Amino acid sequence: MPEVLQRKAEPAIRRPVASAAPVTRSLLAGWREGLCIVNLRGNAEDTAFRQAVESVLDAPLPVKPCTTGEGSAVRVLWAGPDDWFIVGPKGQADALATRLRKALAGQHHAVTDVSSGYTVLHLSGTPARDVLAQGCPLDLHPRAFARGACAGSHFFKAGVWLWQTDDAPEYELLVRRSFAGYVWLMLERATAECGLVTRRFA
Amino acid sequence: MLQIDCPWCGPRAESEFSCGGEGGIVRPPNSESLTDAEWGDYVFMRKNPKGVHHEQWRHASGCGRWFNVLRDTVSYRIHATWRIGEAMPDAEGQAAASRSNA
Ligand SMILES: [Zn+2]
Repeated sequence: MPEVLQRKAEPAIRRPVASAAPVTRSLLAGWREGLCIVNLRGNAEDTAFRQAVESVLDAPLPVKPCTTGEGSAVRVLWAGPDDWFIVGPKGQADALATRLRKALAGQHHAVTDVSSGYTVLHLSGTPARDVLAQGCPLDLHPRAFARGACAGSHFFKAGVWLWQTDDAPEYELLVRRSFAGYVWLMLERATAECGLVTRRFA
Repeated sequence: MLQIDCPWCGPRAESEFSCGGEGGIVRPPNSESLTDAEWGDYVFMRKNPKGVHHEQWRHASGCGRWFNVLRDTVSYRIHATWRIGEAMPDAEGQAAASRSNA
């Protein structure tokens, strides 16, 4: 059972809640620490590059702007026409980067393990869109942004990459680790009306 | 807030972008044979038109790409955006921009 902490009116006090029943009207948020985050650069128009990457990842390499490629183990985020983030399970970055470098040997590419530079924020619950909208200018209406979409934008002053993992809605944000404290502070302020339930995620 | 049409990501809020000043400036290939005045012109001298201006912008918090923008400095209206290396698209502001460049 994940540890559940709840804050309602008094931001300074976080008291443990006996029951883990979700407070559906509040925002549910927490960091997904230690995930595998690998940055990949290369030529998306080169078939050999795409094939090598896809054979290692077992996921499609998204070449359409602002889309994700979903694999059984990893999610690939489009971050630019020659730029991707690969988000995978904890502890996999080293092995994944090695396999990618091996498959791309001799090709023009760059594989960089950036797991220690980023962290992932989980946001879910009914108010998720309204909370994000306070600091992020993206149109998050389902008709404009749904599962399979991703976007680089900002949450207040911090740059983030954002994607949707469930229609519920449920979002994940790729945040620079040094901005995590700031992002959390702004999240607390942005949830003053709806409430914030903090939870530790795997 | 302005909406700027990133040639890669589509329409996004101005706050995701940064402006890099005048666009379309080509580095002279023969830099070793230029006079100080010619090199200074390339490095420092910029147009500052009242009206349509060819600028370079960067989608800083999105795809990170630099791209071209045709923007009216009086009305802030953006007439066109296009990728680096592509030809300037047909736009109402184009004629005005070439006038101000002349
Ligand atoms: Zn963009």
